[in-house]
Amino acid sequence: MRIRLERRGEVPLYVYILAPTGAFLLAFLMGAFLMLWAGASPIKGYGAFLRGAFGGLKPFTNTLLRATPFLLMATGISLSNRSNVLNIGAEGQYIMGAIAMTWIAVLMQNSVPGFIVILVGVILAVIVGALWAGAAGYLKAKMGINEVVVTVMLNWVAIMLLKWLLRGPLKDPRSQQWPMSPPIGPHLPYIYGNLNLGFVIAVLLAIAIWYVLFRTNIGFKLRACGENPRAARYAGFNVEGMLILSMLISGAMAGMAGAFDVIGTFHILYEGIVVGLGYTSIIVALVGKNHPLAVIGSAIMFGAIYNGVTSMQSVTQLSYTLSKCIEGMIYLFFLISEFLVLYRIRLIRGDAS
Amino acid sequence: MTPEQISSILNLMVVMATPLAFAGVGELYAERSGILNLGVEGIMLMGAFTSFYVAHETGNLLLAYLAGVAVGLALGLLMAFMSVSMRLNQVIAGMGIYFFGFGLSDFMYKTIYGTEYASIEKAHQIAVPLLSKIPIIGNAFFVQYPSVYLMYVLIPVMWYLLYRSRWGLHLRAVGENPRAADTLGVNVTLIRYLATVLGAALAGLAGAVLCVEITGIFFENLTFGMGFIAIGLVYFGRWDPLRMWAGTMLFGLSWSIAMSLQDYFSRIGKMHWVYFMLMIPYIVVLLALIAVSRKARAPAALSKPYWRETSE
Repeated sequence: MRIRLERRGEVPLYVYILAPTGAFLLAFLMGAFLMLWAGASPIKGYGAFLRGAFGGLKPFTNTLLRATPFLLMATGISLSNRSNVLNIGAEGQYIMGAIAMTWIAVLMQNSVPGFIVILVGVILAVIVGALWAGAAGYLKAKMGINEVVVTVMLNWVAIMLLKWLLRGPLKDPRSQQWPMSPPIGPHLPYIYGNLNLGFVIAVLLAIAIWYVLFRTNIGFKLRACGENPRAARYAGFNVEGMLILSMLISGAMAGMAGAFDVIGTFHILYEGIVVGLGYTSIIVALVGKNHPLAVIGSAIMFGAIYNGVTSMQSVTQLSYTLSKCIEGMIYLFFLISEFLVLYRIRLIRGDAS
Repeated sequence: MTPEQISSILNLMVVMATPLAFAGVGELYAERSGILNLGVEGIMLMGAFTSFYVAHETGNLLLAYLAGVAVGLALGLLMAFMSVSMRLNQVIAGMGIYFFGFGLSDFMYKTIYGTEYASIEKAHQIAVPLLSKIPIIGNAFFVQYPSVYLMYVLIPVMWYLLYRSRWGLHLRAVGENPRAADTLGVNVTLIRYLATVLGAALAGLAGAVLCVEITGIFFENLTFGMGFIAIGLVYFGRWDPLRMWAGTMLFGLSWSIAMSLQDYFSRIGKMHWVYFMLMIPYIVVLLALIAVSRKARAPAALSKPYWRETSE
């Protein structure tokens, strides 16, 4: 008996919907087993999870707040994925953006109006993030160096830079113990509760990038270069240029996410910002199938997972890192479900092939 | 600089290079067979956590090393299944392994040990009779942890296997031209499975080495990107175990020099400069990659799934 894979011809629509739903349910089911192993009740746990993520306007706005960095970074990652370069470095670009914003705020907040601080800070964060990713894009395009390795190295450079700055030049002189920056006064305008303008900007940018990707000439070129570089080069498109451009934009979005988190959520810079949001955003982009509009939904869902797990933590005393396990499993099951959508597995009896 | 200082810098260089060398040579084998395993970091983290757990519960360090290897084997099977049997995109599958290992190791640690400070008794450095008496070099290379001695033997053996054995020839053929290898009767699937699983087992061992010999504790992300550095060093070594080994020493040396300045910085009351210095090893790896980029040529079938039935 042999096992053979066959490509499905027409894929019915319900398969497209059922497969990812199944992936999510399986991941949450595995999460329930993990909770049982950790000695907590999954029913209580998921109850707290749902209340924390969706139970009313205030929890929901918190979910949207959590979704903001995911949305910005995952939109950028989708764009670079489209030109066939994998940006694992959103984490580092996010940190660099946060550093740039904080640096400007510490330098200027006592002398100029808040909105100027924000404007200058965000612009600098976008530039720094773009360069941090663009460097990896350049090395990939011009020298063929694996972008995954380069972006991860740059992540660690950013982490060490952050640790150094928080204990040295950016340290709050009044804080003796913890490495942290002075508090940052200027903040993004609030919409409701803690939810700020950053979310709206992120949604608008996702829509704008969708438009550029699917409705403009340059977006077409970018996708063509990613899907079939050889044909695109034959058509006279600048494949290397498109690759670098997509990384620049990807990094700019991540840098902006870092700046928004500093002036929208934390109002301070500390080492706790390094929790792997940039890595999670890769999963967000995958679940959104690299489509900026789908990424909006997927980012809100991951915001809900992070927000829900936080309130689950206070009820069940489970570690918040459960969200990392669940997202890892979502990723793996999602891959398998994609595969099952595309292929049919057939058992063949006997030797005949 | 006194001879003792030189000797201790070299000693730390070898210590830091060891987990990288295990993970690197494992990744090199997988890549030579055509499988790009980007999950090394996640496998190392799981190996580190499991070995920590076993060492903490049993106190038996040998069991701890073996536990690291076992976890590596299991995750390697998963990676091989996804990339060889299911023919998924290897970059995406590898990232999945990374996320899974990263999240699960941290979650299990925080659930079992919470916020209490847990540590294990680390392995001891063992002096080799006679050799350890050589000035400078003796202390650096022959008063070392058990896994360092394993590395001294393993890397040359792996080099020999790859270039001088029939199996190594098949492995390289599968990575260059799987169709031709298949036509000549080489079992492409089997070889790719073996290479991936062996590589992952070594990554698990690398994680165990980190915990049992270097840190003695477990914390989130304790690999410091070493899994990805190992992948970079495979590229730096142009898919040759010995050149890759030299690369691990380069990273080890830059890390060791940065750490050795710690005393100096704490004496002048500027401890935070240590973190500044710790950026240097990563920058060194980047520069090393740029330096060899013109000469590097990957195995032709790297990260391409093999279909027997179709021409693509």
